[in-house]
Amino acid sequence: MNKPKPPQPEQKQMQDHSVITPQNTLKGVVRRTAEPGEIDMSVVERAEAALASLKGEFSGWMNTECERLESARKAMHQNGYNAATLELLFRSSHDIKGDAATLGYPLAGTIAGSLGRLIYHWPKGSQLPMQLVDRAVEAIRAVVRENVRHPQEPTGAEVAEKLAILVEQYLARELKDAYAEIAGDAAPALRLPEYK
Amino acid sequence: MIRIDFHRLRFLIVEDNAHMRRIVRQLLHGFGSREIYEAEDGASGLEAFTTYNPDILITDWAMPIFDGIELTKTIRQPGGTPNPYVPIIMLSGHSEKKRVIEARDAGVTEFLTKPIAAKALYERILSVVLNPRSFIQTKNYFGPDRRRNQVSSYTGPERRKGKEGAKTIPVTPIDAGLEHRRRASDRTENGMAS
Repeated sequence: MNKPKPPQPEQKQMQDHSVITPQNTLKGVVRRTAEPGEIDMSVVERAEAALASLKGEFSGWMNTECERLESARKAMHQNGYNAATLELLFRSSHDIKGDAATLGYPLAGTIAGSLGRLIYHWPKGSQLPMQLVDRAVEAIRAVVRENVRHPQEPTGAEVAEKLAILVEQYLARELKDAYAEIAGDAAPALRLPEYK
Repeated sequence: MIRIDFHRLRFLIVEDNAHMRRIVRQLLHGFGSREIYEAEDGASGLEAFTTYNPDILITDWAMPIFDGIELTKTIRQPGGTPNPYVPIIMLSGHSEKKRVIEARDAGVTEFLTKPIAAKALYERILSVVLNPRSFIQTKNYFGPDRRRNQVSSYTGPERRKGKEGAKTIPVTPIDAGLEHRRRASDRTENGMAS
Protein backbone atom coordinates (compact mmCIF):
# COMPACT_ATOMS: atom_id res chain seq x y z
CA MET A 1 0.00 0.00 0.00
CA ASN A 2 2.71 2.48 0.99
CA LYS A 3 4.99 3.87 -1.66
CA PRO A 4 8.69 4.17 -0.88
CA LYS A 5 9.76 7.55 0.46
CA PRO A 6 11.03 9.82 -2.32
CA PRO A 7 14.75 10.61 -2.29
CA GLN A 8 16.03 13.77 -0.62
CA PRO A 9 15.28 16.81 -2.76
CA GLU A 10 17.87 19.18 -4.15
CA GLN A 11 18.18 22.25 -1.95
CA LYS A 12 19.72 25.61 -2.79
CA GLN A 13 20.48 27.92 0.12
CA MET A 14 19.89 31.60 -0.61
CA GLN A 15 20.60 34.56 1.66
CA ASP A 16 17.22 34.55 3.35
CA HIS A 17 15.44 31.46 2.04
CA SER A 18 15.96 28.00 0.58
CA VAL A 19 14.76 26.85 -2.80
CA ILE A 20 13.96 23.16 -2.75
CA THR A 21 13.39 21.14 -5.90
CA PRO A 22 11.55 17.97 -4.91
CA GLN A 23 11.95 14.83 -6.99
CA ASN A 24 9.28 14.93 -9.70
CA THR A 25 7.50 11.74 -8.78
CA LEU A 26 4.61 12.38 -11.17
CA LYS A 27 6.54 12.67 -14.44
CA GLY A 28 6.09 8.93 -15.00
CA VAL A 29 2.35 9.42 -15.55
CA VAL A 30 2.86 11.85 -18.45
CA ARG A 31 2.78 10.20 -21.86
CA ARG A 32 3.57 11.90 -25.16
CA THR A 33 1.87 10.36 -28.16
CA ALA A 34 2.10 11.04 -31.89
CA GLU A 35 -1.53 12.19 -32.02
CA PRO A 36 -2.14 15.78 -33.07
CA GLY A 37 -2.95 18.41 -30.43
CA GLU A 38 -1.16 19.60 -27.31
CA ILE A 39 -3.08 18.15 -24.40
CA ASP A 40 -5.72 15.45 -24.35
CA MET A 41 -8.95 17.23 -23.41
CA SER A 42 -11.25 14.33 -24.31
CA VAL A 43 -11.03 13.12 -20.71
CA VAL A 44 -13.05 16.19 -19.67
CA GLU A 45 -15.98 14.98 -21.75
CA ARG A 46 -15.66 11.51 -20.26
CA ALA A 47 -15.68 12.99 -16.75
CA GLU A 48 -18.73 15.12 -17.58
CA ALA A 49 -20.48 12.01 -18.87
CA ALA A 50 -19.54 10.12 -15.71
CA LEU A 51 -20.99 12.93 -13.62
CA ALA A 52 -24.12 13.06 -15.76
CA SER A 53 -24.71 9.39 -14.99
CA LEU A 54 -25.37 10.43 -11.38
CA LYS A 55 -27.97 13.04 -12.32
CA GLY A 56 -30.87 10.81 -11.32
CA GLU A 57 -29.69 11.11 -7.71
CA PHE A 58 -29.18 14.88 -7.66
CA SER A 59 -32.74 15.88 -6.69
CA GLY A 60 -32.65 13.53 -3.73
CA TRP A 61 -29.26 14.91 -2.66
CA MET A 62 -30.53 18.47 -2.94
CA ASN A 63 -33.56 17.60 -0.81
CA THR A 64 -31.23 16.16 1.82
CA GLU A 65 -29.19 19.39 1.79
CA CYS A 66 -32.40 21.41 2.23
CA GLU A 67 -33.50 19.23 5.16
CA ARG A 68 -30.12 19.82 6.82
CA LEU A 69 -30.52 23.55 6.33
CA GLU A 70 -34.07 23.52 7.68
CA SER A 71 -33.09 21.56 10.78
CA ALA A 72 -30.20 23.99 11.35
CA ARG A 73 -32.67 26.86 11.16
CA LYS A 74 -35.04 25.12 13.58
CA ALA A 75 -32.18 24.48 16.00
CA MET A 76 -31.35 28.18 15.85
CA HIS A 77 -34.95 29.13 16.66
CA GLN A 78 -35.23 26.60 19.47
CA ASN A 79 -31.84 27.05 21.12
CA GLY A 80 -30.95 30.61 20.17
CA TYR A 81 -27.68 31.46 18.55
CA ASN A 82 -24.58 30.01 20.05
CA ALA A 83 -21.37 28.65 18.54
CA ALA A 84 -22.93 25.26 17.79
CA THR A 85 -26.15 26.48 16.15
CA LEU A 86 -24.29 29.13 14.14
CA GLU A 87 -21.76 26.58 12.95
CA LEU A 88 -24.55 24.22 11.89
CA LEU A 89 -26.40 26.92 9.98
CA PHE A 90 -23.27 28.28 8.34
CA ARG A 91 -22.01 24.86 7.32
CA SER A 92 -25.29 23.78 5.75
CA SER A 93 -25.66 27.04 3.80
CA HIS A 94 -21.99 26.90 2.76
CA ASP A 95 -22.44 23.34 1.46
CA ILE A 96 -25.45 24.40 -0.60
CA LYS A 97 -23.50 27.34 -1.96
CA GLY A 98 -20.83 24.87 -3.10
CA ASP A 99 -22.88 22.02 -4.52
CA ALA A 100 -26.30 23.39 -5.58
CA ALA A 101 -25.15 24.45 -9.06
CA THR A 102 -23.60 21.03 -9.70
CA LEU A 103 -26.82 19.40 -8.51
CA GLY A 104 -28.82 21.53 -10.94
CA TYR A 105 -30.12 24.34 -8.70
CA PRO A 106 -27.81 27.32 -9.27
CA LEU A 107 -30.21 29.86 -7.77
CA ALA A 108 -30.31 27.88 -4.53
CA GLY A 109 -26.51 28.18 -4.50
CA THR A 110 -26.67 31.93 -5.05
CA ILE A 111 -29.14 32.46 -2.22
CA ALA A 112 -27.14 30.16 0.05
CA GLY A 113 -24.08 32.30 -0.75
CA SER A 114 -25.91 35.39 0.54
CA LEU A 115 -27.06 33.51 3.64
CA GLY A 116 -23.55 32.23 4.36
CA ARG A 117 -22.15 35.74 3.92
CA LEU A 118 -24.69 37.10 6.39
CA ILE A 119 -23.89 34.45 9.01
CA TYR A 120 -20.14 34.76 8.51
CA HIS A 121 -19.85 38.56 8.61
CA TRP A 122 -22.70 39.45 10.93
CA PRO A 123 -21.22 41.43 13.87
CA LYS A 124 -21.39 38.98 16.74
CA GLY A 125 -22.34 41.54 19.38
CA SER A 126 -25.65 42.36 17.69
CA GLN A 127 -28.85 40.40 17.03
CA LEU A 128 -28.73 37.96 14.13
CA PRO A 129 -31.57 39.08 11.82
CA MET A 130 -33.55 35.83 11.99
CA GLN A 131 -36.21 37.22 9.71
CA LEU A 132 -33.64 37.54 6.96
CA VAL A 133 -32.27 34.08 7.73
CA ASP A 134 -35.80 32.64 7.52
CA ARG A 135 -36.47 34.33 4.19
CA ALA A 136 -33.26 32.97 2.70
CA VAL A 137 -33.89 29.42 3.95
CA GLU A 138 -37.47 29.51 2.67
CA ALA A 139 -36.29 30.84 -0.71
CA ILE A 140 -33.73 28.04 -1.08
CA ARG A 141 -36.36 25.44 -0.23
CA ALA A 142 -38.82 27.03 -2.66
CA VAL A 143 -36.28 26.95 -5.51
CA VAL A 144 -35.82 23.22 -4.94
CA ARG A 145 -39.50 22.46 -4.31
CA GLU A 146 -40.56 24.34 -7.47
CA ASN A 147 -37.74 22.71 -9.41
CA VAL A 148 -36.27 26.03 -10.57
CA ARG A 149 -33.27 25.00 -12.64
CA HIS A 150 -32.33 28.04 -14.69
CA PRO A 151 -30.11 30.67 -13.03
CA GLN A 152 -32.15 33.46 -14.65
CA GLU A 153 -35.67 32.16 -14.05
CA PRO A 154 -37.36 35.57 -13.50
CA THR A 155 -39.03 35.07 -10.11
CA GLY A 156 -36.19 33.07 -8.61
CA ALA A 157 -33.54 35.46 -9.89
CA GLU A 158 -35.47 38.45 -8.52
CA VAL A 159 -35.82 36.84 -5.09
CA ALA A 160 -32.10 35.95 -5.08
CA GLU A 161 -31.15 39.50 -6.02
CA LYS A 162 -33.43 41.11 -3.44
CA LEU A 163 -32.12 38.86 -0.69
CA ALA A 164 -28.54 39.68 -1.71
CA ILE A 165 -29.34 43.39 -1.50
CA LEU A 166 -31.00 43.00 1.91
CA VAL A 167 -27.99 41.11 3.21
CA GLU A 168 -25.57 43.74 1.90
CA GLN A 169 -27.68 46.59 3.32
CA TYR A 170 -27.79 44.87 6.69
CA LEU A 171 -24.03 44.22 6.73
CA ALA A 172 -23.24 47.76 5.58
CA ARG A 173 -25.44 49.22 8.34
CA GLU A 174 -24.10 46.98 11.11
CA LEU A 175 -20.44 46.81 10.15
CA LYS A 176 -20.18 50.53 9.35
CA ASP A 177 -16.65 51.38 8.17
CA ALA A 178 -15.54 47.74 8.38
CA TYR A 179 -17.98 46.90 5.59
CA ALA A 180 -15.55 48.43 3.10
CA GLU A 181 -13.22 45.47 3.66
CA ILE A 182 -15.78 42.92 2.47
CA ALA A 183 -17.84 44.96 0.03
CA GLY A 184 -15.76 43.97 -2.98
CA ASP A 185 -16.57 40.29 -2.56
CA ALA A 186 -20.31 40.89 -2.88
CA ALA A 187 -20.53 41.41 -6.61
CA PRO A 188 -18.76 38.63 -8.46
CA ALA A 189 -18.77 38.95 -12.25
CA LEU A 190 -21.43 36.59 -13.48
CA ARG A 191 -21.79 35.38 -16.98
CA LEU A 192 -25.22 33.80 -16.95
CA PRO A 193 -26.88 32.06 -19.84
CA GLU A 194 -29.95 33.74 -21.30
CA TYR A 195 -33.26 32.58 -19.85
CA LYS A 196 -35.45 30.70 -22.32
CA MET B 1 -0.30 15.01 -27.67
CA ILE B 2 0.22 14.85 -23.94
CA ARG B 3 -1.82 12.28 -22.05
CA ILE B 4 -1.94 11.70 -18.32
CA ASP B 5 -2.13 8.10 -17.12
CA PHE B 6 -4.71 8.73 -14.46
CA HIS B 7 -4.90 5.06 -13.55
CA ARG B 8 -1.37 5.40 -12.15
CA LEU B 9 -2.26 8.34 -9.90
CA ARG B 10 -3.39 7.85 -6.34
CA PHE B 11 -5.81 10.48 -5.02
CA LEU B 12 -7.06 11.34 -1.57
CA ILE B 13 -10.25 13.39 -1.25
CA VAL B 14 -10.82 15.09 2.10
CA GLU B 15 -14.31 16.54 2.20
CA ASP B 16 -16.99 16.46 4.88
CA ASN B 17 -19.94 16.60 2.50
CA ALA B 18 -20.75 13.09 1.23
CA HIS B 19 -22.41 14.40 -1.94
CA MET B 20 -19.38 16.46 -2.89
CA ARG B 21 -17.06 13.52 -2.18
CA ARG B 22 -19.13 11.40 -4.54
CA ILE B 23 -19.05 14.12 -7.23
CA VAL B 24 -15.27 14.49 -7.05
CA ARG B 25 -14.79 10.72 -7.04
CA GLN B 26 -17.03 10.40 -10.09
CA LEU B 27 -15.08 13.06 -11.97
CA LEU B 28 -11.78 11.37 -11.12
CA HIS B 29 -13.22 8.05 -12.28
CA GLY B 30 -14.21 9.77 -15.51
CA PHE B 31 -10.61 10.95 -15.95
CA GLY B 32 -9.52 7.34 -15.60
CA SER B 33 -8.42 7.20 -11.95
CA ARG B 34 -9.04 4.02 -10.05
CA GLU B 35 -7.14 4.48 -6.81
CA ILE B 36 -9.13 7.05 -4.86
CA TYR B 37 -9.32 7.28 -1.10
CA GLU B 38 -11.69 9.42 0.91
CA ALA B 39 -11.79 11.01 4.34
CA GLU B 40 -14.59 13.07 5.84
CA ASP B 41 -12.65 15.53 7.96
CA GLY B 42 -9.18 16.94 8.36
CA ALA B 43 -8.13 14.60 11.18
CA SER B 44 -9.07 11.42 9.34
CA GLY B 45 -7.67 13.03 6.20
CA LEU B 46 -4.28 13.35 7.87
CA GLU B 47 -4.44 9.73 8.96
CA ALA B 48 -5.40 8.62 5.45
CA PHE B 49 -2.61 10.77 4.01
CA THR B 50 -0.06 9.03 6.22
CA THR B 51 -1.48 5.60 5.44
CA TYR B 52 -2.01 5.85 1.68
CA ASN B 53 0.64 8.42 0.70
CA PRO B 54 -1.41 9.83 -2.20
CA ASP B 55 0.11 11.47 -5.29
CA ILE B 56 -2.42 14.29 -5.17
CA LEU B 57 -4.54 15.51 -2.29
CA ILE B 58 -7.87 17.26 -2.92
CA THR B 59 -9.24 18.94 0.18
CA ASP B 60 -12.18 21.06 1.17
CA TRP B 61 -11.55 24.11 3.35
CA ALA B 62 -14.52 24.23 5.77
CA MET B 63 -14.65 21.02 7.75
CA PRO B 64 -15.44 20.34 11.40
CA ILE B 65 -12.67 20.32 14.03
CA PHE B 66 -9.63 20.25 11.72
CA ASP B 67 -10.15 22.18 8.51
CA GLY B 68 -8.40 22.10 5.15
CA ILE B 69 -6.04 24.94 6.03
CA GLU B 70 -4.89 23.20 9.21
CA LEU B 71 -4.51 19.96 7.27
CA THR B 72 -2.36 21.72 4.67
CA LYS B 73 -0.18 23.39 7.30
CA THR B 74 0.32 20.07 9.08
CA ILE B 75 1.30 18.27 5.88
CA ARG B 76 3.66 21.09 4.91
CA GLN B 77 5.90 20.55 7.90
CA PRO B 78 9.25 19.32 6.64
CA GLY B 79 9.93 15.93 8.17
CA GLY B 80 6.52 15.83 9.82
CA THR B 81 4.69 13.76 7.21
CA PRO B 82 5.69 11.20 4.56
CA ASN B 83 5.53 13.73 1.73
CA PRO B 84 5.43 17.44 2.59
CA TYR B 85 5.74 18.20 -1.14
CA VAL B 86 2.49 16.53 -2.15
CA PRO B 87 0.41 18.68 -4.53
CA ILE B 88 -2.63 19.96 -2.62
CA ILE B 89 -5.67 21.15 -4.54
CA MET B 90 -8.06 23.07 -2.34
CA LEU B 91 -11.66 22.78 -3.42
CA SER B 92 -13.69 25.38 -1.60
CA GLY B 93 -16.95 27.28 -1.54
CA HIS B 94 -14.95 30.28 -0.31
CA SER B 95 -14.32 32.51 -3.28
CA GLU B 96 -13.10 35.74 -1.67
CA LYS B 97 -9.65 36.92 -2.70
CA LYS B 98 -8.58 37.12 0.95
CA ARG B 99 -9.38 33.42 1.34
CA VAL B 100 -7.47 32.44 -1.79
CA ILE B 101 -4.41 34.27 -0.47
CA GLU B 102 -4.80 32.61 2.93
CA ALA B 103 -4.91 29.18 1.26
CA ARG B 104 -1.85 29.99 -0.83
CA ASP B 105 0.05 31.16 2.24
CA ALA B 106 -0.83 27.92 4.05
CA GLY B 107 0.93 25.99 1.27
CA VAL B 108 -1.91 25.02 -1.05
CA THR B 109 -0.71 24.29 -4.59
CA GLU B 110 -3.91 25.03 -6.52
CA PHE B 111 -7.23 26.58 -5.53
CA LEU B 112 -10.52 25.58 -7.10
CA THR B 113 -13.78 27.35 -6.30
CA LYS B 114 -17.04 25.42 -6.05
CA PRO B 115 -19.24 24.73 -7.93
CA ILE B 116 -16.84 22.22 -9.37
CA ALA B 117 -16.49 21.66 -13.11
CA ALA B 118 -14.72 18.76 -14.80
CA LYS B 119 -12.57 21.07 -16.92
CA ALA B 120 -11.44 23.20 -13.99
CA LEU B 121 -10.49 20.14 -11.93
CA TYR B 122 -8.66 18.61 -14.90
CA GLU B 123 -6.73 21.84 -15.45
CA ARG B 124 -5.62 21.96 -11.82
CA ILE B 125 -4.45 18.35 -12.00
CA LEU B 126 -2.63 19.04 -15.27
CA SER B 127 -0.96 22.02 -13.66
CA VAL B 128 0.45 20.05 -10.73
CA VAL B 129 1.52 17.13 -12.91
CA LEU B 130 3.03 19.05 -15.83
CA ASN B 131 4.40 22.09 -14.03
CA PRO B 132 5.58 21.07 -10.57
CA ARG B 133 6.86 24.08 -8.67
CA SER B 134 9.91 24.44 -6.50
CA PHE B 135 9.37 24.74 -2.78
CA ILE B 136 10.41 27.75 -0.77
CA GLN B 137 11.44 27.62 2.85
CA THR B 138 11.68 30.83 4.85
CA LYS B 139 11.33 31.60 8.53
CA ASN B 140 7.57 31.85 8.09
CA TYR B 141 6.72 29.72 5.10
CA PHE B 142 7.21 26.28 3.67
CA GLY B 143 5.36 25.43 0.49
CA PRO B 144 5.20 25.77 -3.27
CA ASP B 145 6.85 28.84 -4.73
CA ARG B 146 4.15 31.50 -4.58
CA ARG B 147 5.79 33.44 -7.39
CA ARG B 148 4.49 31.62 -10.41
CA ASN B 149 5.95 34.17 -12.77
CA GLN B 150 9.27 35.86 -12.24
CA VAL B 151 8.08 39.39 -12.96
CA SER B 152 10.81 42.01 -12.93
CA SER B 153 8.20 44.71 -12.21
CA TYR B 154 7.00 42.99 -8.99
CA THR B 155 5.82 45.65 -6.57
CA GLY B 156 4.72 43.78 -3.44
CA PRO B 157 6.50 43.29 -0.12
CA GLU B 158 9.68 41.20 -0.02
CA ARG B 159 8.17 38.51 2.20
CA ARG B 160 11.06 36.09 1.97
CA LYS B 161 13.14 38.38 4.19
CA GLY B 162 10.65 37.87 7.03
CA LYS B 163 8.75 40.62 8.80
CA GLU B 164 11.83 42.46 10.05
CA GLY B 165 13.54 42.62 6.69
CA ALA B 166 10.41 43.21 4.66
CA LYS B 167 10.42 46.20 2.40
CA THR B 168 7.91 47.23 -0.18
CA ILE B 169 9.04 48.07 -3.65
CA PRO B 170 7.36 51.34 -4.63
CA VAL B 171 4.52 51.09 -7.11
CA THR B 172 4.57 53.26 -10.19
CA PRO B 173 1.27 54.02 -11.93
CA ILE B 174 2.26 51.77 -14.86
CA ASP B 175 3.22 48.90 -12.54
CA ALA B 176 -0.04 49.32 -10.64
CA GLY B 177 -2.04 49.09 -13.85
CA LEU B 178 -0.21 45.95 -14.94
CA GLU B 179 -0.63 44.41 -11.52
CA HIS B 180 -4.33 45.20 -11.49
CA ARG B 181 -4.78 43.58 -14.90
CA ARG B 182 -2.76 40.53 -13.90
CA ARG B 183 -4.81 40.05 -10.73
CA ALA B 184 -8.05 40.48 -12.63
CA SER B 185 -6.86 37.82 -15.05
CA ASP B 186 -5.92 35.51 -12.15
CA ARG B 187 -9.37 35.95 -10.64
CA THR B 188 -11.04 35.20 -13.95
CA GLU B 189 -9.11 31.98 -14.19
CA ASN B 190 -9.97 31.17 -10.55
CA GLY B 191 -6.27 30.57 -10.06
CA MET B 192 -3.88 31.69 -7.37
CA ALA B 193 -2.24 35.07 -7.47
CA SER B 194 1.51 34.73 -7.75
